[in-house]
Amino acid sequence: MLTYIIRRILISIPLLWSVLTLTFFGFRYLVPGDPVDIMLFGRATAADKARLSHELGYDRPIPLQYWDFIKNAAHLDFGDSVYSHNTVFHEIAIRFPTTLKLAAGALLIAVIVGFIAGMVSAVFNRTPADTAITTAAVLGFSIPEFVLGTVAGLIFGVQLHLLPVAGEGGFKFWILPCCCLALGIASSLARLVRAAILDVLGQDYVRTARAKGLRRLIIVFQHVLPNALIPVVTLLGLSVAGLLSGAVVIENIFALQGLGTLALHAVSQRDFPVVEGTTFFFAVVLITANLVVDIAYALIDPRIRYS
Amino acid sequence: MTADRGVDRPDSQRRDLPVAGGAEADLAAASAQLSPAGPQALIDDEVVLAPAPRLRTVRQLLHRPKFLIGAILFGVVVLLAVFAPLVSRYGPDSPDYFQLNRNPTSAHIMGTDYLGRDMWARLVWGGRTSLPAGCLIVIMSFGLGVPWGIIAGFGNRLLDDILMRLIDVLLALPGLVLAMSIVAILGPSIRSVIIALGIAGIPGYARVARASTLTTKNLDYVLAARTLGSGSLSIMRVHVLRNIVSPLVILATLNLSGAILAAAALSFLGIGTQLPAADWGTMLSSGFNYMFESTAQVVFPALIITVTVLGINLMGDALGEVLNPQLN
Repeated sequence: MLTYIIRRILISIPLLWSVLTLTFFGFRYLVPGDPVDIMLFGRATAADKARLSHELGYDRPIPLQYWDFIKNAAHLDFGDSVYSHNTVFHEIAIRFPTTLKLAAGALLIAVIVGFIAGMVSAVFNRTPADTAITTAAVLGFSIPEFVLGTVAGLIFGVQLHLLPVAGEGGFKFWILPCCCLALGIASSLARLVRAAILDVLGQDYVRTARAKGLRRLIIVFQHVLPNALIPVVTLLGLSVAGLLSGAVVIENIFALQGLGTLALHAVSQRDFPVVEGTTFFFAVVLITANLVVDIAYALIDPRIRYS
Repeated sequence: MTADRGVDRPDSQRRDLPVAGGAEADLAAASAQLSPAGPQALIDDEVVLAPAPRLRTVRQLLHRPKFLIGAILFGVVVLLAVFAPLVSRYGPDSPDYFQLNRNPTSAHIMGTDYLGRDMWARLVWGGRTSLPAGCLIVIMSFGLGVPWGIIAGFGNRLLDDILMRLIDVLLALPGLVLAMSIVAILGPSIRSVIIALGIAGIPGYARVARASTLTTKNLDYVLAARTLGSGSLSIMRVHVLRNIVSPLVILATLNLSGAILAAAALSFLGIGTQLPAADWGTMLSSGFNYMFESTAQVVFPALIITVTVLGINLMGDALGEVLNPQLN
C-alpha cells in the first residue's frame, strides 16, 4: 500500500512538469501578438513595456527563462501579479480557504442528500417516492450551476429576502452557494446509488440473506450498502473536477473572493503570472484529490490489492 | 435473405431522425464489414442483418414519451433560432430608452433588458450564437479526439504512450479551468471559447476511440485488409474508423448539451461572447445584475437554457435506456 502511494505521488511529478511546460510555452508563444503589449492592453509606452518585460524576465534568453520558471514553480513562486503587484503565491494563499470551504460544504451536502435520496428511491423502487426522486434527479442534473445560482439568488434573496446573495460573512452566506454547487453532484449521486443498490439487490447473496429470513433493514445496511459504496467513490473521484469548475462559476455569482474569482479576473485582465499560478494550483488540487480517491478505493474494497 | 432486405428497404428511407447520423454511419460500417469479409458474411446472419437492431432502436425511441418530449423541446428551440427574424418583431440590438428593465408587457412579451432591448428578440437571436457554438465545440472535439485516439490505439507502444500522456495533461485540469487558461492565452471572445472548449473535450473522444481501436485492430477483417496490402492510413480510415464510429456519434450527441452549457457559462463569466452580441450566457449575467429592477431578465434566459438542456438530456436518456435495457 505504501509503495503504491509513493509510486502514485512520483507519477504525478512528470504530469505537473508537463502542465508547467505547456503553460510556459502557451503564454509566451501561442499568444496572438506580444504578451507584454497585451498585458498592458496595448496602450503603454515603449519604456513601460520594456520595464514590465524586464520585471517579468521576458527579455532574457528562452532556455534561461524556462529553467527559472520551472525552478521557481517548484518553490511555488510565480512572480508578482501585474495588476495588484502582490506575489501570486500570496494572492492564492489568501483566497484558497474560501474555495476550500465552499467545495467542502457542497460535497458534504451532496453526499448526504444524494445518498439518502438514492437509498430511498432504490428501497421503495417503483413507488411514487421513487418516481419523484428520479424526476428531481434528472432536473437537478440538467440545470447548470450558473442558471441555478442566478435563479436561486433571485428567489431566496430578492423575492423572499431570506438569504444574502453576495459576499462573505456568517453561516447564512454559505447556504446558497454550497447548495447550488451541491445540487448537480447530489443528483448524479442519487441516480448512481439507486442503480448500484438495485444491482446489488438482485445478487445471489442478497437472495440468500433474504431466504435466511433476515430483516429487510439489516440486509440493506449489512449486505447492500457496503457493496454499493464502490461506484459511489468512483463518482466522487470523477466529480472533483466538476466541483472545481462549478466553484469558479458559483464564486463569481455570489461574489465570494476565492480562487475562481481570482482566476477569472486574471483571465479578463490578461494578468498572465496569476493565470499561470492558478492553473498550476488547480492542477495540484485535482491531482491530489484523485490520489486520495484512489487510496480510498483500496480501503473500501478489499478485493483491490496494489503491489 | 433477399426477402429480409426487401422488408428493410422502406424503413431505411425513413431514417431522418436525430440519430440519423449514427444510423447512416452504421450502415456504412456494415457495408465496410461486408466487403473484406466476403462470402463468410453472407453465411453469418448477424453480420448481414446488422442494420436491423438499429431500426428497432429508432422504433423503440419513437415509442418513448421521454424521447418525444425531449425532441419537441429541443426542436422548438432550434426552430425559433433558425426563424429568428420571422418570429421577433424587434431586432436584437434595437434599444428603446423609454422601456428599460420592463417585466412582460403586451408590446414586449418577455419584457426588456437594461437598455430597453426586447428580451424575446434577444433570446431567439441568442440561440444563433449559443446553439452553433455548442455544435462547433462538439465537432472540434470529435474531429481532433477521434483521430488522436485511433492513431494512439493503432500505432506502436511509444506513440501510444506519448499521445495518451498528453491526454493525461489535459485531464490534470478541471475542464472549465483548462478552457479559461486557453481563453486567457487567445483573448476573451466566443471564437476563443469554442477553440478552448473544443480542446478541453478531446480526452473523452480520444479515450473511447483508443479503447475501441485496440479491440478492433486485431479482428480478422483488419488482418485480411493488411494481408491484401492496405496501408495503415487506409486501414485506420476505412476499417477501424467506420466500425467504431457509431458509439462515438452517440457520445457526441450526449455531449452537445454540455458543450452548449459550457459556452454559455464562459459567456456568463464575461470571457465569451462580448456585448452587444446576444448570447444566453451574457443575457443571464446582465439580467442578474439588474434583477432588482425586473425579474424577467433572469427568468427567461434561465428558462430557455434549461429547456434546451433538458430536451437534449431527455433524448440522450431515452437513447441510453434503449441501448442498455438491463440498466433500468
